[in-house]
Amino acid sequence: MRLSKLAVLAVVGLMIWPAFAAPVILNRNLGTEPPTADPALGEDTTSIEIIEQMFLGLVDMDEITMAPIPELAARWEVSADGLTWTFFMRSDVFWVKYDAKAGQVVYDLDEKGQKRPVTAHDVVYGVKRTLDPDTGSNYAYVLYIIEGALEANEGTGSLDAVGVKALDAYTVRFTLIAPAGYFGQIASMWVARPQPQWAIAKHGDAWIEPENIVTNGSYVMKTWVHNDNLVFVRNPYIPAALWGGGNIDEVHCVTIVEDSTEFAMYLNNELDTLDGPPLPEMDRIKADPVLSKQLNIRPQPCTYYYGFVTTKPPMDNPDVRKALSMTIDRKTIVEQVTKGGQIPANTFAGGTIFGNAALSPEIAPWAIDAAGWDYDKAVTEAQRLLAGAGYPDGAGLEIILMHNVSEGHARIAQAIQAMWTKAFPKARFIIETQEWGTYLKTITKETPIENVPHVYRLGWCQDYPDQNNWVHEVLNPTLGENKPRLSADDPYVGAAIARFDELTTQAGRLSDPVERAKLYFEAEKLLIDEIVAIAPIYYYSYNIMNKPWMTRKWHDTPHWDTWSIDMELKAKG
Amino acid sequence: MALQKRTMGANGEMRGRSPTQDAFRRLFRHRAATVGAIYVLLLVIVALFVDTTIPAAIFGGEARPLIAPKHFAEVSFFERDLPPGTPGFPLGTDYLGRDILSRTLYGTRVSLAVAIVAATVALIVGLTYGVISGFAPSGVDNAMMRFVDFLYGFPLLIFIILMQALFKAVSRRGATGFVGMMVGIDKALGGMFFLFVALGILNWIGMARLARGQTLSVKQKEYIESARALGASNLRIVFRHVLPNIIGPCIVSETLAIPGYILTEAFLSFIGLGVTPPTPSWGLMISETYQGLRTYPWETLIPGAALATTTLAFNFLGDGLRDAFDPRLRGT
Amino acid sequence: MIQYLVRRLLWAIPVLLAIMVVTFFLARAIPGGPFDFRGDKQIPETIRKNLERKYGLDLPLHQQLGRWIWDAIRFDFGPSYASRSQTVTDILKRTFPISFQLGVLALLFALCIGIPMGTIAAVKQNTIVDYGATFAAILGVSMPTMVTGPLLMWVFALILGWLPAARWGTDYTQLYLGFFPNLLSGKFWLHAILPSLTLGLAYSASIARLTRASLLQVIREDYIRTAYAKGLPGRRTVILHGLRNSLIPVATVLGPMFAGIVTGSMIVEQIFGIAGMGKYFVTSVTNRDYPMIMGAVLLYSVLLVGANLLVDVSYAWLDPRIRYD
Repeated sequence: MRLSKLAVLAVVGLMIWPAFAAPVILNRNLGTEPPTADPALGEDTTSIEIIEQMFLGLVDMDEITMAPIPELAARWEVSADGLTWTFFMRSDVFWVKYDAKAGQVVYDLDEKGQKRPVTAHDVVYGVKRTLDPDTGSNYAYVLYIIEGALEANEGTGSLDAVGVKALDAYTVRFTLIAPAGYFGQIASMWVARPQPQWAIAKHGDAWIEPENIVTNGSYVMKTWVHNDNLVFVRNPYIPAALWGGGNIDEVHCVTIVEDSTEFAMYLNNELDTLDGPPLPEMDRIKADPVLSKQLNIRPQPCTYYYGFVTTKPPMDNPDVRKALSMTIDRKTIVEQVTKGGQIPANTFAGGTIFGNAALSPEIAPWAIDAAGWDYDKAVTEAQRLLAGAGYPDGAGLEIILMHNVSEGHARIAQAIQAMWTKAFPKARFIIETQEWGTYLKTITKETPIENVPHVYRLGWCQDYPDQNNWVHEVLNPTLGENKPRLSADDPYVGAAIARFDELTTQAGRLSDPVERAKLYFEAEKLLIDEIVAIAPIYYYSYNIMNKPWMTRKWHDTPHWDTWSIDMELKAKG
Repeated sequence: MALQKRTMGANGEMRGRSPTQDAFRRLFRHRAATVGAIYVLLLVIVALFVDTTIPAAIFGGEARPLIAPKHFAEVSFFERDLPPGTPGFPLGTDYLGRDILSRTLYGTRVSLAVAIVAATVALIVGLTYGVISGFAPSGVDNAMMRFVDFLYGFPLLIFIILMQALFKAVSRRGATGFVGMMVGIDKALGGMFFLFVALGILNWIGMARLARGQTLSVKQKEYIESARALGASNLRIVFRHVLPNIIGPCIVSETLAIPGYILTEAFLSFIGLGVTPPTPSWGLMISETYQGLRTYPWETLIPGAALATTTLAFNFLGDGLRDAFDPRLRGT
Repeated sequence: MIQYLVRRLLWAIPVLLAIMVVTFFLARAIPGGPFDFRGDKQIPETIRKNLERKYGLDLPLHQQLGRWIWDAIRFDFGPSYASRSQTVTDILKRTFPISFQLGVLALLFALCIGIPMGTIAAVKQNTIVDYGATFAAILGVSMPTMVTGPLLMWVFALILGWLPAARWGTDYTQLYLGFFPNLLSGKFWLHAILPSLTLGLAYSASIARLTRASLLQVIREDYIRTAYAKGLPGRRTVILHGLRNSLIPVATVLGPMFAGIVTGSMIVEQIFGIAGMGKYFVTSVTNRDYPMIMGAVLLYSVLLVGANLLVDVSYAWLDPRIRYD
């Protein structure tokens, strides 16, 4: 009798044990050591991923539409001229930390032993710290839309003059230099998040180490063994409304760089989820009945493109540029070379960016086989263009294509070299490679023209999902990076370039979304079809594998608090 | 003394054969070394003539390639990742549908060039330096060895990046004369010439240390003392007695270093500083496909096998050379 | 002997200084600076200037060098530009012990395989045993670690499931005196097997081949013949008299090999996800992380100079006829 009771107890215990006692653990590979966990300094996807979990923003971005949605700020108001943004914050979020002795997350208490709420002052401090030249933030420039920010960051103006102000403990107001319709997305970025002044003052640069860090987000850093692993635990004090609905209690991160090792660990059930399986394994994964079901492909807001240096003969002739762009068989590249569900691109900005014109048949239809075009027709047309420019079959054409060293870029460059050589058999296409730091120096617009290649490779990923971050900041002839060296004095397409300049500058200073979208559409059309400053190749995709027990949401920056694991399924392996 | 007499006898009194002839005779009696030598010779032929075509006039029809069936950059997107034995592609194709057989054959160029350039630089410079250092008075020896220590600690990688960045900038300005010639060679080797120079520079140092260690050891031998007693000059002692006695381990170490050079090239390909694609090298072929080892093993293992057999050949050849030039085996 | 050691150690100072000065100028001669780019993007001019001012990169070169030397004397190597919350000293302190453990295990493995294999090959010269040993050795040396690593992982971790796929069995927070692992820990050994095997294989072949070549030479020396003539049994002669003397070339190679192997192998560490310092020799250069370049090169150079000194001292032990006075 007693024995059977015990047995029943044991069985029941075993059944409920996983549900009640064992924490739900996510095993994740970050892909590399995060260079920082400091919101002011984050600049790479890995750092931003862990910052996202630990620090809340005024607003968050919607998983699908990328529109701003409430987070710390319950609501916000924009003045009629679009120059003043006021955020009204909730008052139930507190700063917390991990107490290693107690083995749990605790409130961070002030000198009087009081809990510290996250206030408007923390936001003001965060923004100003990011802009402080002594902080040395690489991303400070996205805040330049705020009044006085550029001057403060350059050191010519005072930080006190920056247009961010705490009206009361939970209301913060930003004053802008132009009515930027995209400021909501900027306010969601890590560089604009509240930062704990007292912890930073006390610990200096080391404030992000687990024993010092004070945070307010969904997860709290427990340990960080640099270059090896990080452990995060769920923040039990976060308001229920800000929790994403996931069930993960602890996240155990490793920092494996090697794709094939990460894949081996995933197969070995040492990881629950995997970002980017090795390229050569894609065929096997797609063919495998089990693995293919675990593969998820989602669009990623990045674009892979080749840029043309428009002042370097023979690339100064737009017909030559267009002929080269037309003979890139984008479909074959994404299907046979990159293989990860990327989408052939006909515009610079992809489909999730505000103001994009992606896949519109009115722009470069030959790139996406739209409006009756296919690759053969494009090649015929390109050959005609090039012959018209004085290079029949490419005779006399010598083009240097440069990319930074990387296995993936090399594959694409060799494929495109082969396509061009096939279309223009008498031309010479030379691939050159440089290591990343040297390469970026080489392709800037300051490099003497004899040292730059004719064609360069780059990718662009959004800082914030708005065309201003794309056509304007990257390609605007006067204010952007302008690596293609566009100039209104161009003898062939000078007028179009002047118009492009005007369009992209103007659109960034408007707040009416319909009007903005119209201007950006025209700008993209000029850029790709007439000026042909760049040849967009494909829009990136996420290739993510999940074990059957793993459910993920698709925010651009992962939100672990929205993920969940089915422990029963996982126990079965 | 017995040894001494025999060496003198080889000067022409005993038999009508020079020591070199003697050495070659013994080299070819060494079966494994002969196989190695033939293999290396074959590699040299492949490297020299891999892109030669047979003119149409000889067999009629079209001009046919002599060695490699296809050009190394001939891409065929829809025939990618085919296994060996596929008709038209005896060793299969890689991720861009390029013929692996042809690429491996073309790869001989870079890998053999690195082996020969680096090994020669290392052997000649290192041996001279090491012997001088070992033979010199201890003050000079010490200074020479500190210079070697200095070069040893020198970061090769920084040197290579610097050279590559510099020379690539120069090449586009259209260099002439000596620099132009160097740039020409560099281009033909897929941007690797300066790497080979750097490898040679790094590795003569290792050779110098080895040669010095050997010289120090040989220097104390009885036959050196007796030669000195007989009034031989330093130069004569070095050439007649020291060099022949230390060359064995040096050659063996150098043939052993050859796979190291080829692997260094592979490592540089791994970190992206190797040959510029699409020029193939075995190292590049391995490093660009190793991640798919489980799906397309042949893409990695075929260049790997080429690398291994070449290494094997150099090693057997090195063994044979060591035995052949060992003075204690002369006349046997 | 003591005098010799002191003299060599004094010599090391100008050697190291020269290496560091040349490295300093070389690193800065590479086009591109540490704050020209972040990830995939270019850093705007203003921000780059802010950062350069913050880290003293706007000063004249000779002042920067002077500063570095002055700080280095006090063991302060500055912050790493690529990971700004850590100093170079932090990074080296953390990663070097891991690389050292892996390196020493790999080297032990290489010696345990290499020397016996070379000896057997030499004793049975030009027989099938010799050729077999040569063949195996060369296979080991000519397989790049980027092939052997994933292959071993595939077989032993994925197919057989005997060993963990990746990572090191300890981290720097669990080391005795900040340097030594718990040798009784099963986890440590399980994780150590595959990476040290991969790394050791590449070195064992060199050692085996060099031992064989050198031993062959020694076997023909007069004193060995004398020993044979005295009627000593063959095997003892080889091991007692021959092997010790024949290790001189091996020792010569071991010095730099040691310095190279314990400062980490980028490929093996990357493939097995080990938090060693090997990657910093590459990433510090590609990131233009000047303080990290200087720190890594200095550590490497110190080890190398030290190892070479040890080698020279060991000559005296291996061959008593060599004296340093």
